[in-house]
Amino acid sequence: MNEDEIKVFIEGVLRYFDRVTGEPALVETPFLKGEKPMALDYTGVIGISGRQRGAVFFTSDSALLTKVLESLGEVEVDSAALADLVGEVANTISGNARRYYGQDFRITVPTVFQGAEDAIELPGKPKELVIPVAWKRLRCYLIVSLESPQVLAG
Amino acid sequence: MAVAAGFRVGEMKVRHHPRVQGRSKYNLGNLWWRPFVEMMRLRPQTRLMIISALGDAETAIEAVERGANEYVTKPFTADELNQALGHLIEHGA
Repeated sequence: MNEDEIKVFIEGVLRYFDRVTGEPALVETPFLKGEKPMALDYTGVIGISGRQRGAVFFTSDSALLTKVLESLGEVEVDSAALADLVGEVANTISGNARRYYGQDFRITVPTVFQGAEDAIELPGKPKELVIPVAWKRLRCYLIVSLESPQVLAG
Repeated sequence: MAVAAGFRVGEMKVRHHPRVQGRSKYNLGNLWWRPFVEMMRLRPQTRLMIISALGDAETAIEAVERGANEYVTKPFTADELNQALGHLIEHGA
């Protein structure tokens, strides 16, 4: 991923928190994911195909998701609502990326899982860029793993 | 009737609106428009607003060409949603 592509996802996550909650988030310096698992309580995954291939993950603690839902006026916050929200964030940020990549940046419906991330492994093990996000002193991560088909073929 | 289609978080804001009488939750990828084409055929007076994460202009244009009256890209503010709902209802009256 080049600098412009990284910026697409940073702006996407900042836009999400700003517009949905009205309270800005802070993005810290992105880094390449190592062997250490990054998954927090809930993770939403969007598969990407077409012009790019890979996946976009949004992972968060329950506390952050609960506060986002509360900011939306939700009074009954249960596990299903938290799972729905984490998938929604991943979906929104991935879908917004089509402004940059165009219509051939195809996204799947969100897959949501709790806890360990071992369940999902991308073919070819592409590099995963971790974008750390802080909102209301709570932490979440956007993890982007994209490659162009030409890179995969090579 | 005004119909708003979108995901749950969009619905959270839409569902309390006093003049939206129906809503649907679909994610059909590139086939998103199919149920709506049929609905518009059966009830041509229906007003349709699509709420989507897909931020490219081509998809928004396609939505309008297939019959959507409003296309709102997530994430949106409450004001933007209210404005879109206002257009939807006003032009459907």
